[in-house]
Amino acid sequence: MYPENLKYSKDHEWVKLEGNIATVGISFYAQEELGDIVYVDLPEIGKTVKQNDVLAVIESVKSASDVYSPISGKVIEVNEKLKEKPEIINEDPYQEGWIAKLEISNPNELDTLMNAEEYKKLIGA
Amino acid sequence: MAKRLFLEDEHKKLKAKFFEFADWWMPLEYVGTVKEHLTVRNAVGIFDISHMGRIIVNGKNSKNLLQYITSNDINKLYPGKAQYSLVLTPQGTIMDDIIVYMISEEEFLLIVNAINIEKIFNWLLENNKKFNVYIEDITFQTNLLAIQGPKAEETMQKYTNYPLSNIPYYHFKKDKIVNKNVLISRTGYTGEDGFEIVVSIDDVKEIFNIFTQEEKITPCGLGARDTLRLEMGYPLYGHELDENTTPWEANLGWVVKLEKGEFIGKDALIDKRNKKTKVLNGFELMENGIPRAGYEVYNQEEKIGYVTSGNYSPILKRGIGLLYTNSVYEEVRIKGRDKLLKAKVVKPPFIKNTSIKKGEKKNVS
Repeated sequence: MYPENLKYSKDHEWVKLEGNIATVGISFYAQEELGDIVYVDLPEIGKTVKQNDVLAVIESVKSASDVYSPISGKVIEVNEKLKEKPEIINEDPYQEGWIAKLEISNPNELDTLMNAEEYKKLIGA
Repeated sequence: MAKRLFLEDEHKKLKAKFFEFADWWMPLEYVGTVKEHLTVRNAVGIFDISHMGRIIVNGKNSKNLLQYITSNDINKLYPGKAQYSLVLTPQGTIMDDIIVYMISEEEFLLIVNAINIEKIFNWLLENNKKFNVYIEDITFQTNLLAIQGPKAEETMQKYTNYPLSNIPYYHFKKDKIVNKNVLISRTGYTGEDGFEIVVSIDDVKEIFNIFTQEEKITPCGLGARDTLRLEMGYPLYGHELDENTTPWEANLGWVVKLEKGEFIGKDALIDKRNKKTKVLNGFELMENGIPRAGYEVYNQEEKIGYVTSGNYSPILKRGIGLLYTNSVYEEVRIKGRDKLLKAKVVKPPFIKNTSIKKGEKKNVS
């Protein structure tokens, strides 16, 4: 449910860092809390965000929720599949259901995030 | 503290996610709102809607009291018939929308909105002085289950000897399910064929478990109930209906029978008939996004109204909703979180061919 190789934010996003490229999504816990996801408002390619800025908006049948960027950087790719099938975030939040890839500007920010163990403690899993 | 359902433990066993609605701790969803919605459109689902208020009115003057405090015509009822009606303020605005069940010449059952139970109960008492009938809130002694979907009748028939096809739309029968006394009513809030069952709390657990376990009728939460009613354009108290809204504005003029005699709100209604301050309509988004209650509605730069209900339609696979505007428009813009979304104004229902048989939709009064 909470892969060891990812870092997690208190707002329930995850980050996977490869070189200076960070892939961002929301956690299993977050998708379960949101319920059926029916629309994702993705960021523009090239948009620059700071850590904790709004990166995307996820709409479920329950509510609209901001996705905060767990890390600063420039959006270089978004998951186009979410436009047709936003429910893949529910089905596979860590692989197929990623949201955006960012070229990061400050790798030190990663230290402010939680590892899987700490995150599980936060959500009581 | 929220009111708790008698069957809360059964819902927990079915892995319900709960939320607070109208002062009740209610199942929001079990497997997921979209799946539950589609099950009701295609097969059959069961909802625990025991949060809805149930009030008994009994006595010689019951008809006279109800004729006086509701807008529809009680004289159109006969034993076994149900009627959609409104309780109005003296100002002609909507205090509640209710269903009146005529059990006998003297006994009636009212189903009222959860949020309005105390208000309507007290309103009945207040107006009962000259009628002197027996009024009892039986909400906590009974439960209300809704079994909804095109397969509702065939599925339920296995558990009752009474031929359910004998119950037309907006009619009911007191009979038995398994060997328990129930009131079975062909009513609902989903747009599909189906029944609502009033049953004593002594018997409800057995019936609920038979339906959810043996027969695999999918349990559905209030999430699906809301998206189902929204696809039909049915109003919800607190959203499309409230004490700032007249029946004329809410497109409920058909529930107002001015010719029936005196009733609370009548004079104000006559006065306000041609003084609508807002128009209720439906809309479909023409671009991606999900509209929500409270979003503002624009025509060009001008704010012209607001969204009262909005969500994703699992059937149309797009955002739909209901709105009040200051006039009639063909196209509007809905102001979402930070964008204006183009929407086409359409007259509900959004979904046309549901399992409520044609010609029956109007047979509610």
